[in-house]
Amino acid sequence: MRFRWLIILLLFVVSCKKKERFEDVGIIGHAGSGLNTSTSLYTDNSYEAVQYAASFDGIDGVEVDIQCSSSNSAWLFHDDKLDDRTDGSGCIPSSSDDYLEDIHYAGWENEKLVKLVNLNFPYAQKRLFLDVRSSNWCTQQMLDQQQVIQSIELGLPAGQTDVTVVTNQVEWVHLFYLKGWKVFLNLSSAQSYLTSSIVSETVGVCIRNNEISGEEVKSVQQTGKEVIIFDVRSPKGIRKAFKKYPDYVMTDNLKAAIIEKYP
Amino acid sequence: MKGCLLSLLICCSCCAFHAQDSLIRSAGLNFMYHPYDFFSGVYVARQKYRLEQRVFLNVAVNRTFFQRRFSPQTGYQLVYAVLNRKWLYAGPFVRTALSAGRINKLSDHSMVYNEEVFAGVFAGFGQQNRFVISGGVGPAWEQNWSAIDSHYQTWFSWNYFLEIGYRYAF
Repeated sequence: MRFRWLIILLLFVVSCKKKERFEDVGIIGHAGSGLNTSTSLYTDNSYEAVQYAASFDGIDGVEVDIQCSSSNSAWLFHDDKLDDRTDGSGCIPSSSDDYLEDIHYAGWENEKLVKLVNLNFPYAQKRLFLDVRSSNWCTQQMLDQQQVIQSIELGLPAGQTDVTVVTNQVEWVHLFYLKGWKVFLNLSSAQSYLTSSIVSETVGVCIRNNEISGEEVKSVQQTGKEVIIFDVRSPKGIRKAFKKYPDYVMTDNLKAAIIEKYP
Repeated sequence: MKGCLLSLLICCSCCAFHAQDSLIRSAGLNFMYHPYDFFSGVYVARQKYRLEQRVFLNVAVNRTFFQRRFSPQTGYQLVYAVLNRKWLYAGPFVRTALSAGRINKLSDHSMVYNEEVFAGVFAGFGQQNRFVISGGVGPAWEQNWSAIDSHYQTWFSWNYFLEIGYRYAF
């Protein structure tokens, strides 16, 4: 009898638990509609994945990985080498556009590699975050940043001045800043971001979910900077990220993130 | 002409009458791995000779129980048992499934629909109590409301599933 009341009380408490809403936290699709995840319909950074992610009511932006080809074009691709996930080989910075045009991803959908200029992104409605790669894995050399900037500019629609980039190269921040682009620095701790000499030239930090606490998010935001939390996949992980109240959650599970945002 | 039809009807009725002996009705539980979520639910089946028809009702486990957003899936499966032994029952099947879920509660068009068709193989072990494993691949279509174009859009992809189940024959 006593236990029955306890169960009823527990059910009452659970059902009355207030559902938290996170309307001020934006959602970004990671590498289109998710990186290395089964919940995404399409391969990361493919044209289809970006269009699919952008179509959702509740997705504020899409992040894509940018690599520059030897023909000076910006291509969407995540990995260092083409070999593992496509029918091509080598690295994007060592490959020409003619070669890359014929490359397909190895998955069932067999999507083509896509150039930034062909992305057809709805810039007016959603924000595109460009995670810019700075080195050529095949030659182990850093790329020429001026050339990278030039290829990104050629890939954007004419007059598109609102450009957001993500980089893990502290040395690259200044030139992006001089271009008037919004720069997120990808670092592994909030402390190293706040003590960095180029904080003033960035709009915020991009950091893994398990590398930042709610308190640290608040301390970054108090300096007027924004926080993007990534590596967010499971419903539990998404909820944990939302509860830190960052500016954006970059997720690999779009639908689960939208559900968590509007419970 | 009328006579022919009547004869055909009588013939079919006789076949159906004699087929009663081989008719097995069953109900069961299943648990399915699907790339989008785990699905679990119940089904009822009707087996006549080598042909089994099944209707099922599942829910997406993560979304329904961990995200508290009811996401049902229903479907139909037609099985042809190439092997129909006393303890072993195996063969190919075709399955069609429809699932729906509400995503963005603040949106006027919050539903996402998934239609899938699978072809696969299954194997069942046991008689009255039967354990079944199955897997299939096939095309899938997802429909969501496009916030960009303001109409429902269809996204085509390929999908697969793996399932284990238990069924009891009445």
